[in-house]
Amino acid sequence: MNTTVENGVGAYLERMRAALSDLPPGEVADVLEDVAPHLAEVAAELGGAPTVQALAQRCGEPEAYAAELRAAAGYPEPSASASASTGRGGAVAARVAVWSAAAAAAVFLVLPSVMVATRGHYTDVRLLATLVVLLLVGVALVSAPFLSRTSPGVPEAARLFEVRLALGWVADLKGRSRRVTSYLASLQPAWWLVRAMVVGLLAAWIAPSANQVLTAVVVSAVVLVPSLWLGQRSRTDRRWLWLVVPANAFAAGLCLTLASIGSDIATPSRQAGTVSVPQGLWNGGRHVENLYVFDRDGKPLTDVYVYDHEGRPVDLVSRSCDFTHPGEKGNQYPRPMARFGSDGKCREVEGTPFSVAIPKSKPSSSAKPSTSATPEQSASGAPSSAPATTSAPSATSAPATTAGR
Amino acid sequence: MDTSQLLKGVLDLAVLAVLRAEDGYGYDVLRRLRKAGLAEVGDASVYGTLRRLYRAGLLTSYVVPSEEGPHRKYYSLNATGRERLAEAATTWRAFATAMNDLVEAA
Repeated sequence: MNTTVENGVGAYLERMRAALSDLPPGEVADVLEDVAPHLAEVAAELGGAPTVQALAQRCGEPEAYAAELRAAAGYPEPSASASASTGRGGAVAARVAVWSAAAAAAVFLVLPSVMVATRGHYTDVRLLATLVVLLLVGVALVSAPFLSRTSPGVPEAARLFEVRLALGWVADLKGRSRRVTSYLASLQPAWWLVRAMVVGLLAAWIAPSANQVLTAVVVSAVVLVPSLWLGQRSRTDRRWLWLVVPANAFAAGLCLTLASIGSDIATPSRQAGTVSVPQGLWNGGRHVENLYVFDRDGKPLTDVYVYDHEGRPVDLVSRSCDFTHPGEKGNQYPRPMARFGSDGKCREVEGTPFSVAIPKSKPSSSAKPSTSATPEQSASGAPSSAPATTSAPSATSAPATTAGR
Repeated sequence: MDTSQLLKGVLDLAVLAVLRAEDGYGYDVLRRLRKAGLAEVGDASVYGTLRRLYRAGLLTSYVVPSEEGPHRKYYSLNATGRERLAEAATTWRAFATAMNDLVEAA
């Protein structure tokens, strides 16, 4: 018997244990002792390595199984202590909790598209962030009293008419195309990874940072841990769904938005002959935001006017603090760069953020001038602070200068 | 007619009867019931019934390690269980006779 069998059977038993968690632990252990050999037999019939989903298709969902067993054994209804006195109130609390979570999920699903649509309006992003926090706090306030009273199976919610309807619909779907649904179910751990990565990408997009790739990787790695934990945990303790479902909706919305942005970039423009899309200048597949020109001695030139091979002025789409009008800055370079200081305010910083060493021997050869970029100190530090110099021994490092205008 | 509705009333008796001849673990009891012709009996219902009869003091249980898979918890009838089985059997026979007469007359 390999570990997968143990895992599928184990996870099924774990969910039953969760559904029966209001009973005395010894009684639950006795019940599971009866069910375990049964599941082992079913597992053997299913070819030895069934998933929880495969077991559920044969025996029903663990929660339903537990409910049937509970009825036959004459155990008290779950949360009888809590909802017997409140009675109807239990169902109302459950309904409010379910619908608030569903509403939050719906908002989170469309939120990323809204964020992209308002990109550039930094204040709007903050407003959205405030709304998100308010929404989360609202759901928590509405659901927490109910969730703290209920058991891990959340039986009050499972008994609601609309929840039974939805679960029935899902079960119906599963029954119709088992191969597809079990394949999708097997992808679940991959989704736990994807949603962490998506959050990392979002962080890189929002946070004003020098190294966006690093930000994305670090945030993804940090988010991955709770993502995996929640994924495992919510399988047995359904109360976590109040956090997992809205979070998943948000991640799914982000994925959809990313996909639509990706297809926009990938799709060549239909009017390629007349309008050049994407706009601006691209170097090695990356968007050029600014141009820095140096003379033969590595001295940075300022107030340089740049034209292309047809004599057209080169106008780049630059980041600037005036978000509503990107571009349209003429063809004078280098331009001041927009930077966010530690206080979150946008400043336009002039000067050259790096220095170059122009090789003396072969000025026009393939040898590339080495560059060394500095982190974005220029935003908060003094504009005249000297950046890191190059490693070339012969180089005369050119300090960043502030173009006086 | 829905057999599962009928089963609800007589599952206790059926489980006790199945355990009269020989002790059995949960899955074993389920198999014997199905083999006896109660194909529609639900596994969860049987395990629930076993627990209820056990808690009512009609059954005793002991654990036997299994070579492959989880260990098995066997249930056996104790003296109280046998008494209850005899009573229930009497009640059932009277009930079944009455029902048979009714159905025959129809």
